[in-house]
Amino acid sequence: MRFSLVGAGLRCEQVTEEAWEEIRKRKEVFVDVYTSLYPGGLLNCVKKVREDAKEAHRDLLEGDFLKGRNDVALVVPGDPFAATTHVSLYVEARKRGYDVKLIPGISALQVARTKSGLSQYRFGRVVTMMYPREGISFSESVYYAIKDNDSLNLHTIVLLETGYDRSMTAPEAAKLLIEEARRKGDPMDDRMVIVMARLCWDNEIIEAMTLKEASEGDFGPPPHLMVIPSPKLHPMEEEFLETLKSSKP
Amino acid sequence: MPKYKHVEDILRIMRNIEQVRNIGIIAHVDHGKTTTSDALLAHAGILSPKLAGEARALDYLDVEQQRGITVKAANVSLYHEYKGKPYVINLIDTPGHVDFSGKVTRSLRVLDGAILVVDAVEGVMTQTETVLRQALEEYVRPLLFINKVDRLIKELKLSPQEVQQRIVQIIKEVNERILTFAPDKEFAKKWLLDPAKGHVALGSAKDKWGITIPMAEEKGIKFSYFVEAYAKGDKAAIEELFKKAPLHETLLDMVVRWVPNPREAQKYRVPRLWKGDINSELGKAMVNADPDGPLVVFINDMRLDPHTKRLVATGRVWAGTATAGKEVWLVNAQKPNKILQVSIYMGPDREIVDYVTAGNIVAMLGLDDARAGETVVDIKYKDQAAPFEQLHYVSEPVVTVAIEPKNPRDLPKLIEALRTLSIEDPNLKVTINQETGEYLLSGMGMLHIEIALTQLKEVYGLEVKVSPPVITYRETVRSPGEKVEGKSPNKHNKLYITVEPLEKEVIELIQKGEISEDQDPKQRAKILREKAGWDAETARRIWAIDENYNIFIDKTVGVQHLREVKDTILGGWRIAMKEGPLAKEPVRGVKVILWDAVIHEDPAHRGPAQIYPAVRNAVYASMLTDRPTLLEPLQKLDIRVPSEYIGAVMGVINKHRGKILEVNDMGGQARIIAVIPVAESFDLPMELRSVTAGRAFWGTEFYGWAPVPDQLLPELIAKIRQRKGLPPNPPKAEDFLSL
Repeated sequence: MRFSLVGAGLRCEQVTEEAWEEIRKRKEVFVDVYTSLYPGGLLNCVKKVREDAKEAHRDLLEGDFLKGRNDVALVVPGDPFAATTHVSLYVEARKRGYDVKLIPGISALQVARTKSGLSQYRFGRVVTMMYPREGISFSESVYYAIKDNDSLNLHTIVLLETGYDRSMTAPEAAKLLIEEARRKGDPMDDRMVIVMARLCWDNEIIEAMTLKEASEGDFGPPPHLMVIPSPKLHPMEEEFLETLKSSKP
Repeated sequence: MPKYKHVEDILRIMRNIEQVRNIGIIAHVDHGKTTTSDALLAHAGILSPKLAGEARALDYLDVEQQRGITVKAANVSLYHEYKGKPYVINLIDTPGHVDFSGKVTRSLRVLDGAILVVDAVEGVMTQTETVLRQALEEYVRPLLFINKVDRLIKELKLSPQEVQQRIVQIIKEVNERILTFAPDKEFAKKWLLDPAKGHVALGSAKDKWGITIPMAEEKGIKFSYFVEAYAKGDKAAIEELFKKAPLHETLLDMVVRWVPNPREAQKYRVPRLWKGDINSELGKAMVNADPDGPLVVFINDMRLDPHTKRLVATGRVWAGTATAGKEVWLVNAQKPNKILQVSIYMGPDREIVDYVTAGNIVAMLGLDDARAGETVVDIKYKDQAAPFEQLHYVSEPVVTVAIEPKNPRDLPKLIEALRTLSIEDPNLKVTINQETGEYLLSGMGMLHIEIALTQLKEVYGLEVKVSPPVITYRETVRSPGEKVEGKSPNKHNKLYITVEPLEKEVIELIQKGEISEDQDPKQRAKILREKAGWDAETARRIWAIDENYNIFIDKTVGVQHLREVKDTILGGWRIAMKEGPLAKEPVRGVKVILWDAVIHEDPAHRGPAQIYPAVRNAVYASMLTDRPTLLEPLQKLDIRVPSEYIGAVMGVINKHRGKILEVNDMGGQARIIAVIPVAESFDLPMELRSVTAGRAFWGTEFYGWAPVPDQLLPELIAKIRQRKGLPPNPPKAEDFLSL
């Protein structure tokens, strides 16, 4: 019995040789389509090699995915264990005696760290900004994560909700965060933020500005994410940040 | 005749708070509330001169007249002169049928005094007791009018001494209840009725006269005078009674003399009824009924004006001055609104005015997001705002019918009409069955529903098809359940939960409004410690209390991110409470305790889609290990019947799983008080009539909930489940644990 969990990076060109090999060899290939956006679509990318690849929806992945499958690959955007969490699937497969192969992919988290130019040693907890739903706001969690990281002088990566029907943009997220910070009596309008739109896509945008400016900006379609630099920066980080401020698409 | 007054004159009196009284009339059904109100309206009702014409009565819906009971609360302003001084008396009509006690309580909140009407022959009845208790709980001072004294003479042929004894007996019975029900001993003593002081009037609303002892002495009317007049059937003498002691004069004198003016009343009512800080600017303004303070209005009635199709909010101004154009904050709805128009009630009509000051009743347009029971404050004082305690109702909606228009094209009209009905009467619930698309109408008894259906027909001209009534049950547990683990679908969140029965005392505390969700937690914990024996730690950690007497308690220690998912966990809990595991009926009277939890770091992995199922599965699994059962609604019957039929009536009650609480044989006429399940009550009217040759009379009232007998349970569960399109057997705890 074999189960491969394959990371496909941020675009088809980032799928590794090792990953292609798994995709070719497994009896069945499923593509996780709900956790992220992918240029041209991840399913189309995998289909270049495996015409018979199928979509795996949330229900399937949260149900008993392994049942009745003994030679299967699940291809996910980015890295299997980074922004997405398929740990439970991995553990379950091991428990059931599968030979489990884990193939890492380039994740947005790593690329964001790299392209922000901020010190790799100084990143804190990652957090996702979600749309309010059922009358419940989730922006408080983002505020707390930033404050926790601030207190240790660490940078914060804020991922934004992606979904079938809508995916959050940086201006939407910036607005939610500004509102939350105001509610907390701790305005963040002037906080520096690095907006990253469509990382590694051909039309990638990476730009530093204030949260207020981000909330009024237009960075094209999602996926977007934001990096909030820590309150105190190293002179080297300051200089790099300056270069992001001037970069215009 | 009604008093013709100019709006300006009335406003001038209203501004002077010592010359304002807010009252209501409360009574057992058929004891003469409407006749008494009509007598007041006909002779003291204010009409503006331009409306001179026939005086319209308080009951303006045909449906009320046909049934002879008052359904709709309406306010009328009365004008009265006492010792040469003019007074404006706001008479807020309270519904007479207990099926509507939600409305009664809400009306009571805007009153400072109430005239309790008691039929001299029937005396204190179940509902007399209920409405008196409700009034006292709202700190409304009761005065007594013993009505229909003519019946004592004409029907019972009592001698003057016997009449006197009867009157004394009724006063004694009412006073006993005041002592029992007044929430404060201080008020119990102060408000005891003393006929010698003039707290009690007796008379006949039908013949429009009434008298108090001090007045009888002053005017030289002897007790024997009216006894003889009625004994002889002397019409001229009765007419003379009306001239000497007109009912409206007597009652309104009594009101002006003994009902506190709004400022006096607010001094003790605000600290007891309002939840905010009495020492805040808002609190002080309310205690002093300060017209120059910030605006605070409690809305007791919302209805759609049938002509203008706009929502009219009626309420009492507790502080400040209501003016058009004012921006306000709705405390319960958590929304800003703007007052577009302000008016006062002149008789049954509304007259637009520039302002209405503290202590008075106001009607407003523009507050479309408000519902009856809303607290409205000046938007500048939003942060100090607190609601009046959540009103607590003793009745709950228990009977449901599905309705559809006979003509499918009327559907939009029906939807609109149902919406309006449920705005006007929040106890009437309208829901849509998601599977069948049917419109479901729920009320507090079959009569409540029938009245709504009559309104659909007569007010909205809608012909509707109605399904047989369906009873709403509740699900609950009978013993503490096991601690179970609820997992989110992504397996990253785990909740450890138990469900236990909620103590009877705590349910009562919630019912009485002594504890509620938005209360100061310390205050609530103190009450739970003292009155329900809870330990301090548990009492302090209540997260939520819902309308079906379910409580959520957090007993976790040091769980990371728990605070951030509190609302999501409660969302899942509310869903589970709305539909229990046995038959998807609402859950009632359980304590859900969260003992421990594992929560994912990131909001993306702990949203409602993950947390809701985790909470629901754990709650269901625990409930299913707790000896779950269904509760059925019970109805109290208060039956009057000639003594020879006692046996026959008891036979009918016993046949319907009923329980006799009390049998009182009072010389040929018996009073039987019994309790039967609502499920058994639909054929009761027919059967009672048939075994008593039509000589039984009765009133009904919601009594409470009781477990369905075990031998009936499986079949009932299967029946409800099948009706809802579910497999007949309820799930087992394992079904929710394996997920």
